[in-house]
Amino acid sequence: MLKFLDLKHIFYIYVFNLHAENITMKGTHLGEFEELVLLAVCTTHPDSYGNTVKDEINHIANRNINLSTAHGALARLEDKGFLSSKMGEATSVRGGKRKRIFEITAQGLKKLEEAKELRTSFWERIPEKVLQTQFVRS
Amino acid sequence: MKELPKNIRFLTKILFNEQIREEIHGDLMEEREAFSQNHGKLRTSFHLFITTLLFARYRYTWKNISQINNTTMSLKHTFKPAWRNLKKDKVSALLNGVGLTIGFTLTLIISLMLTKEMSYDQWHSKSDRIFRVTHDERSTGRSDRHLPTVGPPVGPALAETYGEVENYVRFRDIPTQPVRVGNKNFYESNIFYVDSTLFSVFDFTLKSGDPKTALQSASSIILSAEMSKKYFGDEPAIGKRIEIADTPYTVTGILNPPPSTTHLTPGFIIPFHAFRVPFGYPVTLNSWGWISFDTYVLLRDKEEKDLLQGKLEDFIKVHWSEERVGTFRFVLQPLEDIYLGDVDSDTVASGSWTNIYALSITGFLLLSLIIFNYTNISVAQSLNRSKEVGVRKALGASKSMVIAQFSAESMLLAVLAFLLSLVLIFPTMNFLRSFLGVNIDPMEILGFNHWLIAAWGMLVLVVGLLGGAYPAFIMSKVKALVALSRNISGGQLGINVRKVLVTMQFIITIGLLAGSIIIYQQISYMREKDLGYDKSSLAVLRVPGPTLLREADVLKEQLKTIPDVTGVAIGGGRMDGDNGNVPVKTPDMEESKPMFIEAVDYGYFETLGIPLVAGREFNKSYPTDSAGAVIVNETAAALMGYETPQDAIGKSIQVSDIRRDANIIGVVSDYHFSSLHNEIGPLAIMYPRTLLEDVYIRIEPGNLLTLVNNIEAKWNDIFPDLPFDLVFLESYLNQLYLEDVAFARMFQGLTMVTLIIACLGLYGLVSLITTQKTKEISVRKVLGANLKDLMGNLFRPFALRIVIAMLIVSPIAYLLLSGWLDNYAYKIDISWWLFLAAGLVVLITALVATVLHSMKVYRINPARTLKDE
Repeated sequence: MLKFLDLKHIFYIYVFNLHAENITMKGTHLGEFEELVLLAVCTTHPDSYGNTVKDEINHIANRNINLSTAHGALARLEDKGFLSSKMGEATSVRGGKRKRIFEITAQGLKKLEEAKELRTSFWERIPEKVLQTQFVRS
Repeated sequence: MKELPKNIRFLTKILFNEQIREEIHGDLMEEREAFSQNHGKLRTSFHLFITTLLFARYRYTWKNISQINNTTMSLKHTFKPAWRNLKKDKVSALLNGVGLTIGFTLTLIISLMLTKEMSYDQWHSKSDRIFRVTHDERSTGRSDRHLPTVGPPVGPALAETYGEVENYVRFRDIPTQPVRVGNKNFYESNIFYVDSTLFSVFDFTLKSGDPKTALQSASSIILSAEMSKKYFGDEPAIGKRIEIADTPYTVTGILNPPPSTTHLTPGFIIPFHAFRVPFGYPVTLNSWGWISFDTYVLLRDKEEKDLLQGKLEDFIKVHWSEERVGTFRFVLQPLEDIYLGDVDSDTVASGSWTNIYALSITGFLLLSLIIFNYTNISVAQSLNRSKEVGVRKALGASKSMVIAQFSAESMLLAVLAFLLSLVLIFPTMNFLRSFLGVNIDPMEILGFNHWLIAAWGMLVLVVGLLGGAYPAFIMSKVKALVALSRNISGGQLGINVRKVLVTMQFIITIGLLAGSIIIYQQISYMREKDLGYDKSSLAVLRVPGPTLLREADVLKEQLKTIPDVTGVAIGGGRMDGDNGNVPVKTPDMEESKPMFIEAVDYGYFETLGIPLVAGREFNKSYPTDSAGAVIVNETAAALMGYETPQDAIGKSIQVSDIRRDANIIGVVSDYHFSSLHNEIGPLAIMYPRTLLEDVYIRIEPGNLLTLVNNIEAKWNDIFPDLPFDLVFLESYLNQLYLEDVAFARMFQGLTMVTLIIACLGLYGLVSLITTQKTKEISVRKVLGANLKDLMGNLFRPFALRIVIAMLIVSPIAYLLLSGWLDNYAYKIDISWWLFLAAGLVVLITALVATVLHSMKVYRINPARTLKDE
């Protein structure tokens, strides 16, 4: 395992130009889909769980993801520390079955903001001309 | 809200632990509610199923399970070290793995072959109710005959007389005939006249054509898929014209290829009512004594077989004259027993119990060798792990946990090897097909015999568990304190068992080696044996009897004009034992005795190089020869009771109905007119011109191609419409031994493999022992031992066991091998040095394995190995 970690460090340092102290066991990289899921957890608050998150993404982003895909992403994000979860109250709607309610953590919110800032900073650097041509072309 | 369907609940139960099951259940129920609003019922349940399966990703399944479930946790703790141990000792793992894989592959193939041999004709849905009526004179003691056939009226009469018989089918095979479609012209031998009830008794099916009408018209014919391909290629054959011996037929059906386990392999099926009694036969289709029709009956109930068998006695009394009653019996032979049965027939496929026994014995020996080998190496290997067991025990492992640990390890390797060998079956089968002509389709056999899969599973379990059982047993007894405080080395543990197993291995190896030497000797003996005539540079040309009758003289003259042809003679067979068997009587004999008959032309014996011991051969200048002369062989003369061949000359003789009264004009020395499986029987040779159909051409060895072309040119001049069928007698005779050669090659192959496995095992064992004895060897070296002493020390126990094995195996192998040799009328003697030679081979192999390793250990500097003492 140690050997493997060493290799991984070297790989990250050389390929992504990251520093060793930033690397933990779980990668903290936020994928595009994961970002969507985080956002969906925020928008569906306080009733964020598998089905609502899935529906939210499918409606707003006009996608067609499976319930299990949403569950997988939620679980992964919880492992990364961006989400926290607790079991909700039993309701009669689901045949008395409780649901797992997700909530965004401070770390997750920070990550979302970072992602947003990253995008904004890119947008700000786009020359006026490019935006115009884009506009004309469409 | 509705509860989830049963299958989904089951799925979630096996996939997820109870902690997350609740939320998943709830989410799934909601999902179903939402989904079912826009989709149909079926679609919804499918969606739910797929979603549940997809849940089995990421942490929702395995990760959680292994932390929670007790059984899976202990499994993980058993298999992880097992895998690590395999990786740690790569050489042993490799040796074991290779040995196991080879062994499994061959065992699987042997089991496939055995299953095929044993499951012939079981694919017919009514196979347990179908019986063949056979004509048995053996049990009545009248003669040695048990024929697979009965007279033509027997089938219909049985069906009419007895209510037990639901249906019948008759097969009448006809001798080789020329078949022609357009300009395609071949001799074919698998032509049958068959009753139209064929399809209601057997499970043969038609690829095209209607089974109800395909055999209605007398001019219709059904082809096998193979023959259809041969004559019509890929075109549809239905409705096409095909000529058999100049009679035109219209194709009305193509058979689906039957499973390979069929004893009936018809190529051409002609309706039975199209059958005409051949010209000159003194019989009709109502002749009860014309024993030439394979007759199968379908009973209403298989339980009624014995009942009907009893009634057949009365049946014979009704239809046969009084003097014939009691001379023979009808036997109902079950369909499934025909292939391996002892009723001789050359028109249907047959197998032999000898091959089955030999295969099973070899397979069993091979399997035990693998197990012994595996156990041996694991035992030796486990000694290095006493410390590990000590630690485990100190940490609270129970005896059963240690046993589970060792068993898991050996199971792991066995399962891996088994999976690999499953894949290897297919290339190995291809190899066997091209080199041995063993044609087996594994999927077909498995398709008909599902139980084989379970048997294979058992095989892996048994090999895996037996391999691990012994080390598990001894290691579990080790006390933690002893294992940790002292070094258990040198093999105080399991040494006796190991000794026995190694000896057993040597026994098997030596036995198989001796067996393959004997088989090799027997086969080459048969190939080289003097047959009593000169078989080299003899070509044989087949001509249909009636045609030859007209053109024999012309053909003979024409062939003699070819420069390299030194002699031409005509006979009635190809020395392959396809002779009739008829009662022969002389006035000096009290009762007639069965003898083989042969038909030959003038100058036959001279051309073939068979000397006459008395009298003369048929000669043109004696006009009476063709009607009233018989030549017998020495065996026949002795059987007739004449002391010297000279005494037989001029005596009168009666050969069946064919020759009423004739005189013996010559006695020919015994020659092999059939394969060497049979002893030379009594032979009566006549000169009836209608039975002649094989032209023997003695040629000068030289440019064979030109010669064959010359002969073919002459042939085309005389018989422009007949296929040209020339064989060289020597290569033709080799075909008689194809099965023996295939068997021998297979046995040799198996022996080679066992030798390899044994070598691998020995190599592994020696390497483990030398490693364990490193310190001992070093000490000896320090005290002044040289390489020779060390090697001797290592090798002596093996040599001793090889000698013991040799002594044990010799009598057993001798008995088995002489049993096998009894199949052959002409056989070699088993020489005493055989087992010595086999033992020597094993000894040398063991020596090489020992030397390789002791060299390695000898080179190690003693200072290195002894430094921590």
